[in-house]
Amino acid sequence: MIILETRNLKKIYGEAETEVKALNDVSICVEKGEFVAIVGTSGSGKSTLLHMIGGLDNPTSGTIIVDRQKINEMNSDELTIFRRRNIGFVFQQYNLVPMLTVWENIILPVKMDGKTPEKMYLDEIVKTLVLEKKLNNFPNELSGGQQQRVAIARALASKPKILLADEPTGNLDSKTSQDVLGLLKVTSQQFHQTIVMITHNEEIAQLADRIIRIEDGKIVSDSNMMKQGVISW
Amino acid sequence: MIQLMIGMCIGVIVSGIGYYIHYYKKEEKLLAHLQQMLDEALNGDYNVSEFSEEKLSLIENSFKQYLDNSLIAGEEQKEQKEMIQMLISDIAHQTLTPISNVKLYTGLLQENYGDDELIQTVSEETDKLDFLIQSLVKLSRMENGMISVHPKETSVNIMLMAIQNLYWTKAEQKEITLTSDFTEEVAVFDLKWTIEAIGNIVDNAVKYTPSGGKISVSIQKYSFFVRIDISDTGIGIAEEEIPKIFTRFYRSFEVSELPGVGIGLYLTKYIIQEQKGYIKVTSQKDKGSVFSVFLPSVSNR
Repeated sequence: MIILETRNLKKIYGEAETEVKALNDVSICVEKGEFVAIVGTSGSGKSTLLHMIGGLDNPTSGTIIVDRQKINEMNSDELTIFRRRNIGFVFQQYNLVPMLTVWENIILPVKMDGKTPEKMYLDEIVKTLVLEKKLNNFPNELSGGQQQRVAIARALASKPKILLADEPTGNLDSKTSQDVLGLLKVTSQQFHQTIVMITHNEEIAQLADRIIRIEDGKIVSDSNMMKQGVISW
Repeated sequence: MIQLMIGMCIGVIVSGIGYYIHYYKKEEKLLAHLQQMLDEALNGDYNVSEFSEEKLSLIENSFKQYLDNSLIAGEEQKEQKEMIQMLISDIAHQTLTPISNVKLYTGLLQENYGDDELIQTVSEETDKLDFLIQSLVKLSRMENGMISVHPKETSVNIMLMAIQNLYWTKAEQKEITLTSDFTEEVAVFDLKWTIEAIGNIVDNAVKYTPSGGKISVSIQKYSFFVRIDISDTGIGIAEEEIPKIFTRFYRSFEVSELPGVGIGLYLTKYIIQEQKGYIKVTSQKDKGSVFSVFLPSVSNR
């Protein structure tokens, strides 16, 4: 099942001579449960792409379909609600609320939607991300890696259709990065969570099932596009 | 007179508010009920609830019918899937005996008629079929939950030594050096199945590394994982191809003339995932590949 599709996505800043094509005709398809890494240098357009998939920015032209809904046709109020219910975000900054405990931070998005948190599912998430001993701590008592794990748990708490991660390990050392992303990977395997992650870190990108490379606003390689190889006994 | 009118007005307003609150509460209750039904259905633990004779309960009823239908459809789908898996498993089991017979008689033919080329071909093809069926048996058993992995705290070194013993001869025959780190690390895994999983990787490494090459197994410790790197100096894998090697029956064009069925790594990934671990591959064409298996460390329990 296709959960995310972009068709001929374009984002153009400025006009005529000062025109900059941040995204130039980007079409991708992501299946449910896939873990996709979008890799590119800074200024390649990867962040623009992620922001559009998450409904944080509008394309100049083109279509974005998340779970059969064209999100580029929604107004900003609709988008806000759509985002809260369907998209989980993990950023380089952990953006945890300092006055709330780890557990309160995790259930915050569920509560905001007026729902009762699902204890069993959340316990499983907390266990997989090895946070069970930290639930009553406050964010400032945690290390960077621990805080990012809380941010991941929070993003997963509302069972989003897609988890978007923007340089999730940008502030972590390489060993902690591997640990945190490893746990994210195990979680995604366990819950068939669709993840789209942008990174410039090759080590981290290799954890994904599929790598899309983007340069000057265009896709230059995508492991899914490859038709080579045969099915044989 | 005026006082009476004011009194009536107040009366109408108060009763209006009263009715409004009454209906508002009722609607609130209904919506809450519907939300609960849907939430339960989403979690798959939806059960019949009580219904009143009220008009609004019609909506509830339709909802319930719809949810029941999709619940039944889901269960039917599950049953069908199980049937197909059983069928595969049955076929696999039933073919095991004839195949071993074919193998036996081919062996006898070879003894009686010497090294005939035709007999040799039959023998090779039978071996392939045998390997395929055995892999299918393992796979179907696993997918049916007939064999489940039981991860427990185990010394990584024991596993590495077992793998060294299993593949040492095969590597030596091809003049490939197979070395393995000594480690005191303990991880959480099922010994038997993990030997199978990592063995498949080592087996591939031997297969796709030319004579004179090197295969080394090394260990690295992380906070939540123990990482086992299997590095070779083999033919390597193109980046675009890496995700595909873990899919069932996938074989690269470039190795289509080498024997193999394309099931080993699928099984490997399955086994590692079942134990809450994961695999990462880095590779350079013509230089070699590194398969990194991450097994949960003890602190992850």
